Amino acid sequence: MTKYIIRRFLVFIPMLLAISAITYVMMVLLPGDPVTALIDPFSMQEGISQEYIDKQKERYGLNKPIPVRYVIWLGQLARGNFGYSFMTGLPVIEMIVGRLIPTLQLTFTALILGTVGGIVLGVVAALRQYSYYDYFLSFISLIGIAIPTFFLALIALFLVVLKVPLFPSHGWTSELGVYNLWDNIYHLMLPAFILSIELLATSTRFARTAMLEVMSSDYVTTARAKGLSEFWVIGRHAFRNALLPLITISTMRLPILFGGALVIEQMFAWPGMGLFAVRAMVNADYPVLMGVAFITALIVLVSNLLADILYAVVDPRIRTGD
Amino acid sequence: MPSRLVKGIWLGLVLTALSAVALACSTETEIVEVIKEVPVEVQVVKEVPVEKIVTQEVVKTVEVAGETVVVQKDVPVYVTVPKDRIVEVVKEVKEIVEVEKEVIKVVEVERAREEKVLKLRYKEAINHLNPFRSTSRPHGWAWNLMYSQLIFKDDIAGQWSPDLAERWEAAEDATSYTFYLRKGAKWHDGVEVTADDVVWTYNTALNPAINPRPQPLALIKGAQAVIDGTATTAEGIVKVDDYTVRFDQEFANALFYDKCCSLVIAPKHILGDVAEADFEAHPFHTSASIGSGPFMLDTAFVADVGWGVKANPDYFLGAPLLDRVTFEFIEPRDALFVAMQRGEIHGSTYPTLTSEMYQALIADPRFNVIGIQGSIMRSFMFHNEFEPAADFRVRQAFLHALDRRALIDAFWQGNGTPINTPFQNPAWCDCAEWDARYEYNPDKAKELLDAAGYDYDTVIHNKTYYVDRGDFFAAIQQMLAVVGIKMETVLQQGPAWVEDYYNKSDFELVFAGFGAPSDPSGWLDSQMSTAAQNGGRYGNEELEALIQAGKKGRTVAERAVPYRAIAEDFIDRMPFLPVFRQNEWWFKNNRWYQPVLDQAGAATSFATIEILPVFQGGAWNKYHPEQWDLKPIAQ
Repeated sequence: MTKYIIRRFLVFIPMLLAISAITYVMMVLLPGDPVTALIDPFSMQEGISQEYIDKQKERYGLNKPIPVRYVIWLGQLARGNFGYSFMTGLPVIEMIVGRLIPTLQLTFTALILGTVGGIVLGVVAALRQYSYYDYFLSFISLIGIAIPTFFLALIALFLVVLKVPLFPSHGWTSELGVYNLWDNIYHLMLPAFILSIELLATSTRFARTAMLEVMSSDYVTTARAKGLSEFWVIGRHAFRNALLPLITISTMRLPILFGGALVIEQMFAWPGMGLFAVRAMVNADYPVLMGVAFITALIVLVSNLLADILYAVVDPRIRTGD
Repeated sequence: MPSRLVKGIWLGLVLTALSAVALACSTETEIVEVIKEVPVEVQVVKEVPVEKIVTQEVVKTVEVAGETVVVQKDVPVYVTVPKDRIVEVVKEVKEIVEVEKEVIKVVEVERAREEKVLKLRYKEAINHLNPFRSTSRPHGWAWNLMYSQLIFKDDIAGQWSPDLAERWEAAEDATSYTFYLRKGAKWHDGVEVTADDVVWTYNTALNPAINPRPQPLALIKGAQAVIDGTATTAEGIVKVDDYTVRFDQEFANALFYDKCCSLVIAPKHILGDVAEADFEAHPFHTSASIGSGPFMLDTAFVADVGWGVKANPDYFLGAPLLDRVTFEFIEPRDALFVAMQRGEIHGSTYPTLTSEMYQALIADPRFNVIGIQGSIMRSFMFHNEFEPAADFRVRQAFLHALDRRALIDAFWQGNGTPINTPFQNPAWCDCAEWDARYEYNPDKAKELLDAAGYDYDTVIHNKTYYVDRGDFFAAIQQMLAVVGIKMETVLQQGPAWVEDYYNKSDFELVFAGFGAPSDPSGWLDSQMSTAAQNGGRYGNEELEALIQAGKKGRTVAERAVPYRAIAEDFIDRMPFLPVFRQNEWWFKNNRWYQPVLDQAGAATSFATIEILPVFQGGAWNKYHPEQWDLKPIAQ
């Protein structure tokens, strides 16, 4: 197992290099650059001096060829330096760390809500197959899959923020710069729930299918024939085996959750990586964009590795290599 | 068993859901201002005259403070005398009760004052608070609250008003301007603001490596040398004494106030020694900004999250009424609208909402919508080298093809007036006649196109940064299609548009919002001058000479000569196609008292939105922020 994990980590290196190279090329090919991003097209009363533009381009190294710029960036990264934001002049890693916590808080809460909730509901639906519960849950989960996250966010803003003011409309906390855990959790609840809905719905469907499949397998019939109580049959024999595909789904959803977080963070002004990345893209802030892409890729790769490890924990056959 | 399991799971779910609802409900769910009644224990120490009780059994004469008191046996006598008059305590006195101080505990009920926090939303890309790199509206808000200028455009008085300079004067021949700074004005760290700060700020602002927009300051004598890098200070910026600064001009002009006085003064004692290369990355621009304005940086600036300022009790015009102002980054209009309705946000630094949202705010007595006199021209501009539109009759036809009134009514809530010239000043514009000239007339448009030999197969590509106005451009395309002009719109993000328009001059047609100042020199400098980007490539030697001549006019009449020549050329040749001039509609919660906006009456419909005048394109949000207030919620 240890060898397996080390091997997987080594595979990460070329993967990260490839991801960073592709991201870099795509990014610099976008129209606009950080210097022109400094000019607000609306307030164009006074001209920007060409000298300033040229000097700034030279300062940011934008006058060098793209491959040279990429190699310089890579060299700095190897030394642990993610560079400095073109827009703020602050170290990128410092800015990312500040944004990573809200994003991880949002995505992992959504992941847990979606996975645990989905499994519970899916198992219930499977055990009550063709009952009203089953039909109701199937209907609700189909709606959850079909409706886009941004639309759900809009509905939630209208219903439970504006009409019935149960939740705050935006932000990480009520007071800018003042952190309070309970206030933070209060602000987290709605965006995390909205973000989790799609995963919740998908997990429910998958859990139901997996559970139904397992319930009709021979070893479950054997377990029942042995006279085991239904609780043990379901809990120990059926549920554990049904978990395998669900682990795959949940961990593979993590990158999608990161993508969904981008929309949710915008809608609820949640100060996370998604919002940060969008603004960096609009401002053509390359060091920040590269930093965000790199960290996100790393998180996704690590989560895939975690999925494999979890597989081994749940299924002993994988551990022993059967 | 399964049924028990299922019930158990359901029970768990229900309990979880109930807990979540309880948690949600336990927190304040609606914004209610709470006036706390706080018992305050006040210890009042009351000084009372000393009471001396003297009891004696024998008749005796006692000297008390020079007075003779006769007492008889068994007849107690009580004498009250001030303590300081007692000169002797006699031995015969058996009992002396002395009360010197009486402590009374008073419990008073006081109305504790709730902190006044004005919450504003911003949405534009703002990444620093560098006073020399102001590029968008939120910067203006930061400067107005935290910094001071020499003088500011006072929209209520309709004139320049004192800020750091308590008085100022222009030389009779308009070749120099002198500013007298108020004494006692301090930076937020307590250091006094002096002429050294002003001189350093203006010289630094001329350095193009630090300030991307030094050109307006080129009016100052010797400024161009600093801009060109051949000098480090301009000879025309003169410190007369610690509280007086004189600006000698390159040539006599009347534009100095307008072009130069909006610069915020920065602290030399903090930034003066920072190397040019380190300037932009200096923490001053994010977490350590220090100004001399009514508010001080409170919550360090975090790009796209927010920042906050707190009252400066030592502000030279008096301590602000508000305790704090916070700026929170909210991008979607829907979220902003909900936050406004919830009272979580009191206003916005960017005033665009949908028609429905404006209507909802107008209908709600908690809010008001206020118009600020038209300062934006929504306009097209053809590239001068775009061959299919090289004939000016094509440009005229373009405007004849557009039903601008219908477009304004359908897509801009009726908020706008069609205009044909950017020179909206009667001194150099026959505005009534000119603005009526290119009326909606598709037949006339076709005639002009035919006369110009227009190639109807041409597809004109229109680049714009109005990414959320696709419906507006679709309608324009349909109107143009009626007369045979094919247009496609390319929606671009701001930086991409700026690069194509300003840097590369790579476009056929652009649509943008341009400022509409009363004096056009700034607009001409940035859009048409060959000394600047000259994005549309219309600038030429002849036009440049007129632009420079306009700057040198000392009076309106003198400036009118070159400006009128430019305006007459523009109204015929139409290198710039204004579609309409627009008033900006601001909205705010009525709890927020803002002296300029609060002059407007309550709007009851789009038609009754009051339009407030501005002074020379002044910024209403610069008007005495120390007077802004947050009224209590009506009970």
